[in-house]
Amino acid sequence: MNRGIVEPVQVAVNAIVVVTTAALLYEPGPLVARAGHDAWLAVLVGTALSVAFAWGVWAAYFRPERAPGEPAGAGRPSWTGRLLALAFAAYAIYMGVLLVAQVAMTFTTVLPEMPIAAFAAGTALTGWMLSAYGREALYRTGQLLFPLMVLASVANLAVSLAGNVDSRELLPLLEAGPERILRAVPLVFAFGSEVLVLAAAAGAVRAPWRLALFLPVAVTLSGLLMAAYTAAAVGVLGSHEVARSTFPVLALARQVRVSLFLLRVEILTLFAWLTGTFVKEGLLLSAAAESITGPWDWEPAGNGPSRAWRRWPPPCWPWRVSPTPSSCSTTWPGPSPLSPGRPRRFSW
Amino acid sequence: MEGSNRLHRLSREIGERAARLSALLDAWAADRAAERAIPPQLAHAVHALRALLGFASDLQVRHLRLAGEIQVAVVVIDGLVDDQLIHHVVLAPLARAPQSACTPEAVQRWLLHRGLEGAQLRPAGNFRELARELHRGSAVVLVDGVPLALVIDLSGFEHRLPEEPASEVVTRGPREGFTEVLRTNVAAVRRRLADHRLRVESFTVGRLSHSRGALLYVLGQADPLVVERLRRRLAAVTLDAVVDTAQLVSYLSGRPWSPFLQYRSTERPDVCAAALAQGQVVVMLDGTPFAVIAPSTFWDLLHSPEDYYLRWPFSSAMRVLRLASVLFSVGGLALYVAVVNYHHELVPTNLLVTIVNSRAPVPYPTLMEALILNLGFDLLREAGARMPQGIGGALTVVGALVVGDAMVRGGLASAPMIVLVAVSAVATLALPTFAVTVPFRLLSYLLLVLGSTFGLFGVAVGATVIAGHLASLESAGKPFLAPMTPWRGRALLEDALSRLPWTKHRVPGPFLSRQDARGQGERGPTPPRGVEG
Repeated sequence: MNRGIVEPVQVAVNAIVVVTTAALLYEPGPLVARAGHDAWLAVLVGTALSVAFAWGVWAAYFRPERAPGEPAGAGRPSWTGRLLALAFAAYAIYMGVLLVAQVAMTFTTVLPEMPIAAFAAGTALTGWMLSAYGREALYRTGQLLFPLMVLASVANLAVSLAGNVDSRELLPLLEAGPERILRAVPLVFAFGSEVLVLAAAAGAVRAPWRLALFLPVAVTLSGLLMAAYTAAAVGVLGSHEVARSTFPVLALARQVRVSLFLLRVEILTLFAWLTGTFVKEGLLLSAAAESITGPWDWEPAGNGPSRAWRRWPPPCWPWRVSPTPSSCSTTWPGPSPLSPGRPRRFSW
Repeated sequence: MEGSNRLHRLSREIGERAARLSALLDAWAADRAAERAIPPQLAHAVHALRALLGFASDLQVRHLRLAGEIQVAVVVIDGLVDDQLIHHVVLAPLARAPQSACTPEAVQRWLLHRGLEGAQLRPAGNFRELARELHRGSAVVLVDGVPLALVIDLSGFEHRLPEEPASEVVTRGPREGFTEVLRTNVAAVRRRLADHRLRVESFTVGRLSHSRGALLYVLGQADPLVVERLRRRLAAVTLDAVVDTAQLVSYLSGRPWSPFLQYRSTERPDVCAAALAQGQVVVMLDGTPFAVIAPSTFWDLLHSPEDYYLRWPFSSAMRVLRLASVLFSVGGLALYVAVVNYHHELVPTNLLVTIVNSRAPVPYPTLMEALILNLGFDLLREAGARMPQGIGGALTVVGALVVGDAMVRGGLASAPMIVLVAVSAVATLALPTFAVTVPFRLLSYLLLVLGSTFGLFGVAVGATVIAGHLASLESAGKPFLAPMTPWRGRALLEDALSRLPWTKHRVPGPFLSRQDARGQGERGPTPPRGVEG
């Protein structure tokens, strides 16, 4: 029964999708440019910080079951809450636009003959469609596509490393001191903090207390994956090459020839990455729509932009029609076999 | 606001849990009632028996007054016993009862030793036994004043249903299929689930056709919310004439515009019985052999009945193969076109040269080539399906060999494309039923267009939207993709993506069908005899 209720595991899985989707492609380059071959250590440190942030998100939103801007009780939200919700929506929209731009730029390099608008529109529309299916379907989609993404990432990593990695590129540790690592930590934290967007689902999680563990673990796993990719990129390509490259992970994938049939696998990596991007775009749009509509008295937060758009105009407008209630009362059970009830035959 | 929303959600959850608890209590009460001794008063005994079987409309009770003024009731389940047989073996001898049988004890003595001499008779003391025997095709005779019932075994005279269903052919397993007669179909299911908790609710649908139907479920196993939901949906049918369950499915589906079947359809009583035992609900309609099972999942569409009659490794491998064939049939051609058009770097040079050489004489783009061949195949299949078997086979051969070969020789299609279209089409047909293949064929066209227009980006867009759509579907309120999402790993391995040996199956708890399997730790019973692991 589609009620917009999601499970803690789905939130955790989507947290990994949100954190790693953009990070895996972009992060190693600027990170290595700042921290050198110790960038993977910076990822670990930044991940620790992100884990603490994720727990903070849980404590601030999931534990009290309240999305950003939502009032504590049944009353109207305060103006502070409304402004907070608007800020949250602005953050989600900004991240969404950024993501669309990233995809468009990436695919322009892969398919230069195609207009950039096609990729931008394709990404935005797909994200919108996913969010239009509703929060529950969106989180389920993330969970459904997650194995594909993990499989592609891990397989790519494994085949990239086989015979290509030079561990000397990663040594010695802390060659330039901890300062360079600390300079790179904010960048890692920026990716890790994107888990904040999931706060829009607060109040709609079946057992929110379980997220106290699940959310930090998800961020930890994301950090480990990012650290592994950063280390792999440096180990295979060398820190200078990684620092210069825009998409070091794609360059890493180009090193791979997995079989006679597939000459290069970077497009498959991109394919898996793309599906995660769509889900993330959907999450961002959904979060923005819910933050705009919920605390602004349009209607109780519902199942994403499609319902949000349907809720327009606000109920104070004269021609606003109330939606029909989706819930229904049940008449179960009928007469007990022990009681002399009427026959269970019905006709219409 | 959200606070009141939460309160509303909480109150609804409490209501649902209360409904489920009530259903559990009902099942418990039914079990208790089944263990009760048969009361001597005939009216009480008949009422208790009818109540135990949920006042099913196919439970027939015939009251007789014997010559000695003693009242007798004969109880049978309609469809399980031949009408003529019950008349000759039971009713006619009762009508010849002597005047001397004027006390209950005398009637009982007469019935046991003289009156029903030719029949296989035995006394039964409690209702559970009576319910079981009724489901096995026996007749029950209750005598006013006697705290026992006489069970007359008539099951040996029953025979199997007429024919094997054409749409679900199996190499191993029962050969029975449903007919167009509702009472026969209900009886076939009752024979397989001889339990007093099986409920059969009859309904009428269609403003002009007044078609009779039946809603079957097992009390205490089926989720009462699902049953209630189906009742309400069936009550909302406003069609004038309802001739098939396919019409009902449109009303049962929450998303009637979706190309995917959200309910499994079957012609087999064994499939229905298994579904009922797992907590699903079955809807039958008079005039059609197709029953609808709710809730169903995406994985049910990939299951064949014989998966349960073959050994588990083979069944599991077949299921994985079917899933792979679905994925290939939907996306295989689109991926090929995308790679050939946009991502040449993926293909090794030798293979690329072969593809380019074979495509060189083809005068139109890859998309057109793929569309023409795909449409040609669908045309041949449609024509073959509507023709007599002999001609249909010949048509397929002509289409596949002659036309395909002529197209390659004439430079109208490339050989790799023909191979791919053929494999993709065969992959579609690997699914158990034809109706399931239709949405996948349709979606393959969508992905083909996206793949040829935007390359792998387009395929990714299409695949994600399809995944999102599947994730948004629900069948009778249960997630369509369960137990993949919501994730129930054990249930996924047990009987969804694969099938574990029977001994490793857990006993399904109440309302915990495959959609919601969780927290079940009990091991299942020993496998049924004659069924492999």
